[in-house]
Amino acid sequence: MGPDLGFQIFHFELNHTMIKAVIFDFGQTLVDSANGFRKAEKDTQAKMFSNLGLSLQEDFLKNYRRFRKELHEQSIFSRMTLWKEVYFYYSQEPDLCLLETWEKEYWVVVRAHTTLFPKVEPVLKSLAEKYRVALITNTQGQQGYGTHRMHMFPELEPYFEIVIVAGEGGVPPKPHPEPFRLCLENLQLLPGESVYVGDDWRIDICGAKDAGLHPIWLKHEGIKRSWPDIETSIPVVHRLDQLIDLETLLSKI
Amino acid sequence: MGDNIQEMCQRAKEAFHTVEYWPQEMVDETVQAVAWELLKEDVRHKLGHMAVDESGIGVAEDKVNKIKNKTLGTLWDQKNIKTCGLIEENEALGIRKFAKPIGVIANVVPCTNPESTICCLSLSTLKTRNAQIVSPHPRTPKTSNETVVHIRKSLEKIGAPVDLIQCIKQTSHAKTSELMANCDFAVATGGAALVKVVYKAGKPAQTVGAGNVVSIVDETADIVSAAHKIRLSKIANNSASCSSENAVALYESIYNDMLDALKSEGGYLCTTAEREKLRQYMWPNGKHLNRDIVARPATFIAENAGLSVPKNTKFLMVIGDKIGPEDRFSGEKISPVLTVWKWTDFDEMLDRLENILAFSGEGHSVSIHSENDERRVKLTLRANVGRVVCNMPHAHANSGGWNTGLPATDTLGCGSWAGNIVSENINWSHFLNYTLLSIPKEEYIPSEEELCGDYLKKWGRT
Repeated sequence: MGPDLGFQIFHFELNHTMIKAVIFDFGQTLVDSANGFRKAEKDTQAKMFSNLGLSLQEDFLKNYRRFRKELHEQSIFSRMTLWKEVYFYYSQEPDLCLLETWEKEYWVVVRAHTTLFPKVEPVLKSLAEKYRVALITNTQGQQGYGTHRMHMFPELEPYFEIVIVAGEGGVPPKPHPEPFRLCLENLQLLPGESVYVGDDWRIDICGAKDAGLHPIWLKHEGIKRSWPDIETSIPVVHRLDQLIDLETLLSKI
Repeated sequence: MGDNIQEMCQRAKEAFHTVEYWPQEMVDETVQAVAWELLKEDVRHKLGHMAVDESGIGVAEDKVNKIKNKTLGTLWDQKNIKTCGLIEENEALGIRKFAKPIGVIANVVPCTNPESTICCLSLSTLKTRNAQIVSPHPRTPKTSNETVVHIRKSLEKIGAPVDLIQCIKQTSHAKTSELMANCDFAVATGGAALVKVVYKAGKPAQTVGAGNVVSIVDETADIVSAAHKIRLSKIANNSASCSSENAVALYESIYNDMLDALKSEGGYLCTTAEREKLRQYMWPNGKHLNRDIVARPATFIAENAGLSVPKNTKFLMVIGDKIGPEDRFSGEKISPVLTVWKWTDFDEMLDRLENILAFSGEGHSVSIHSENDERRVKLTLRANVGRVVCNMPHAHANSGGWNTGLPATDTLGCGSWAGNIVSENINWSHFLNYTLLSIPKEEYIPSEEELCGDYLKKWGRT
């Protein structure tokens, strides 16, 4: 890998700063919900297509995906917002009670298909012995607070000194720097003293980098996903256990 | 133009303040400048074709002509109308009436008329010295944007503030709601779903209702002429207009002749089996109209429903059965599909019409082809609609035309029946505030007898 300007700055900072904390993203970083989201999306699309009373399914799916992409680009992950936009497009007023039911069913499906990635707990345990460990996750627009999927895994919670759920309670979602700043403020650390591990290039990696943290891009091996085609000097790992020897990982850069 | 709603509202407010006290001559020049731009053949051609290309709704040439007619009609309706400063004076009452603008108006535009709605309403809001921000339908943002680009160009040409009209580029439900909440007034051309969204924004608003026009034909009508007019109205823009007939109600003695005349005009009468196939295609879940058939040609709908119809079929006809949700053909269809009812007694037909409108289309309009004025008046008294159109192609007359006195518009108020505040054709007159200047007049106190005399004569003072 040939060094570029970004690489040199990164390396320079690392040589002069002691890493004190490892901060994780949650979805698709520590837990795998991809199949759950896929199934939940498919189920909801079928229900919505039928409820809207349409006949051109491909056309409907194209529009649905377009709205989803546009909202994701604005870091809006609320299913309700997405579904309202689809109904608006088809000039229909959605039955909000029905959408709420769908949303509940959606998250039941996602949760039922959510599993921990291999070696999550040993990795967290190992890192927690040397570093302070925290979590910054974006809400997916679930109804009400405290319904985040991380509560499905209470065994992980003791490892996290700080948990920031961005996108609710007045905290803007990642990639906005605010949730990163808030986490560091709670940890009483400088941005350069923390590593941020996440799977999403725009939300996690660019967000962390813009906030001054050292990002590590976790591109889990063996999962069905089209990763953005980006050449980067940011460290990339493919398994969580590659993080255990963080010093070596960072020193190779 | 960006899509920051707050910034757009601010720019609109500044433009509004620039013209807020403009005199009538400057206002009228502005209106004419915009109208002239919209009347240009190349502009109309571009916008009409763009609307159809973008939405798949309607017929391009119909739209090209519609832009011209609506623009000219709106201009004609407001010619010599005073909308600035003192507009009326009643010396006896000591009252002088001053017209004032409202401010910034949100204009929520439908995908069925993404260009002509803006043409009509921009002339009306400019005539009344208001600024306007367009929220296009998510299906047709390009067409609405392009229409606004042309209007801004014409404003720039005469040195008027271009931000008197702006358009959201990438529209969404959230942005539309934000826009309505931040404007002084809203006008929204769309169905019941939109009415609720608009009023939720908490601002005064002009809204519209769903159409479900029934065209009654009696034995006094010229059958050939009536069938032709119904065809003209029914196939215009593939029935994209809410003023398009959704049903015909034919008197029994002319029923067969009228059906034959409608067939001669390109109507295809579905068999019972074909009707069922069509029903399943048009309401796949039995409840909501399939939006993929809106304003599509009759042959497209027939083919996709699995019907085999002649290539020259212009509209499909089905026999009316029940009224209400158990038979969706009794409601609005926004497509070249016409429900046919038969009647023997006019009063019974009016009862039936009441039920049809209660299910769909109350407040909108009905049509009658008859030379019997007593029946026309009876229909007008009974039907809870804003308009009753006689012996005319309904869609070409209901929202203004050269052989009707109804004002030109693309926005038809449907009254409290449809949750609207007016039941009129929305035009310049609905975008003004008035201030009355009152000076003392000669005192006159009417006596009790003068006011209650008739009652007192009959019932006494106890």
